[in-house]
Amino acid sequence: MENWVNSKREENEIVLSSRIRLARNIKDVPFPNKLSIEKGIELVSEIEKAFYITDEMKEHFKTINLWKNDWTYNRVFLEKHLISSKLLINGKKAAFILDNDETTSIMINEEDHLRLQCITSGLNLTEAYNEADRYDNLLEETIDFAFDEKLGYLTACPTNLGTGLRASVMIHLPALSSTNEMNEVLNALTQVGMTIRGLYGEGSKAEGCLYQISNQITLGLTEMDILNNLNAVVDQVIRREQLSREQILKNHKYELEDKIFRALGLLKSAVILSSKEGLNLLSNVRLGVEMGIVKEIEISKINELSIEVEPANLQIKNNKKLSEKERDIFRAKLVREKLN
Amino acid sequence: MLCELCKQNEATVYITKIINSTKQEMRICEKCAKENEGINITGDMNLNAPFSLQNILSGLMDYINQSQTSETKPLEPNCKKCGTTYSEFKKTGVFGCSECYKYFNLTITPVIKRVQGNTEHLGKIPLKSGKDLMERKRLIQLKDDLQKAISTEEYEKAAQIRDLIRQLQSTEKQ
Repeated sequence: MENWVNSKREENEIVLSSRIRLARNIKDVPFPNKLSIEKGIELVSEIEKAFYITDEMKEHFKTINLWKNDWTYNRVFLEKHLISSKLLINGKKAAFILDNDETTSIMINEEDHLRLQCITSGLNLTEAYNEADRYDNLLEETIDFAFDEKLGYLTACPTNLGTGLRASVMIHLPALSSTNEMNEVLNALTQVGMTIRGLYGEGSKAEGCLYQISNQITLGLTEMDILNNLNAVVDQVIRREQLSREQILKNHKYELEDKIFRALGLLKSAVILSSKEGLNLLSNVRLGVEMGIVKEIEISKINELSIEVEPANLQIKNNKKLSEKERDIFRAKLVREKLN
Repeated sequence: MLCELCKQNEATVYITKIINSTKQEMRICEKCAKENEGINITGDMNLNAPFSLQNILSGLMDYINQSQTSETKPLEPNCKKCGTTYSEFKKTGVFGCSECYKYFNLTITPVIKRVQGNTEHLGKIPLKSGKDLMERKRLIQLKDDLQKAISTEEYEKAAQIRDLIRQLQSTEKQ
């Protein structure tokens, strides 16, 4: 798998990354919400034992115990999409196993005991699934999962029952957002058992026109059915976005170029930059790169920036806690340096 | 005329945009006009859905239980294994352990059907612990195939399948 952030993928792609998440629970152990802190921590080391079985695994992976770090340090991983906000909430007994490339993350004591997550660049769901499946099989060698003949893998919330599989793609939809077609997309997706969310999953807002499209239904379908359905739906959304981009280019070429280069100009010279403004301006520049209007910037630079401008990443990079105003100043400086 | 955006209120605001000498007209209501100030309607879709999953789940459960007779109402309001109560699940949307699915079977099955549309798992089966189950599923599938082969009069194929079934059943007994 390729890390999506510094990916060398085709510039005109609209999908940034594909993600697979498998939910698993261990037989005869209460779900994390009923697990004491001590028992939760015990479970973490049990899972580590089942996972680090060869030297190769020990070399490629490391465990990060959330209870050992401060909040900002942990939040960096959320901003990198490597863990969920639910894992942060359970921080006192939660941990995750991360590979060196930052493509695989096995969350322990999230809503379920295990959440195996694999992220790869571009639209590549099968590749990510195969990888997640491999780790699932590995863990199953030593751990018995809670499984029911009829209901499949048993999960804390009935919305994950069955396959426990949530497949999602991160997608950049500035044209559909600006023409106000997103609600239509949402309606159409819900009708076929899919859903669309903001950048950081459930309940988050779509900053910078970045969305996540994922399957809702996990039971009664095979894993391949789920992946194929999502692929088909995403293809449609991509086509709509492309059509919309072509329309804008045809009817409002100068306005579009103006918007993109103004955004670039602002990013290159702003002294104070809020997170929201930064992400929205980056979205405009990203659109410019994707459409071949901005030529001198690589898409990976935009990816890196879109993560680095987030509050926790900024503070870690600066090595100290920053007030909101300091953050905005530091953010602007970082962006200026990177783009000039 | 109804508002072109929310399609609910009467349109009272008329917007005419002229960009590059192309004219665009829009008729919207006052509320939408206020929300989309600056005319350039940004696609700021509200993804902070007003309904959380928990809300929907508990709403569903209330609805389903209302329509049930008192006989099928949950007789066991809590899970004997982990102590999760029915109202706890309603509030949080998550169970306490895998046994909860057994104790709340009656109430949860219709909810699962509503949420998922299905109640029968068709996906992956754990390779090791699910071995028996996989063999059973294979047997059911083979018997199904056998019936099909017989009904389409493909007796040669049917004989092959029959032998496979015998083979499987004999290894099971050992």
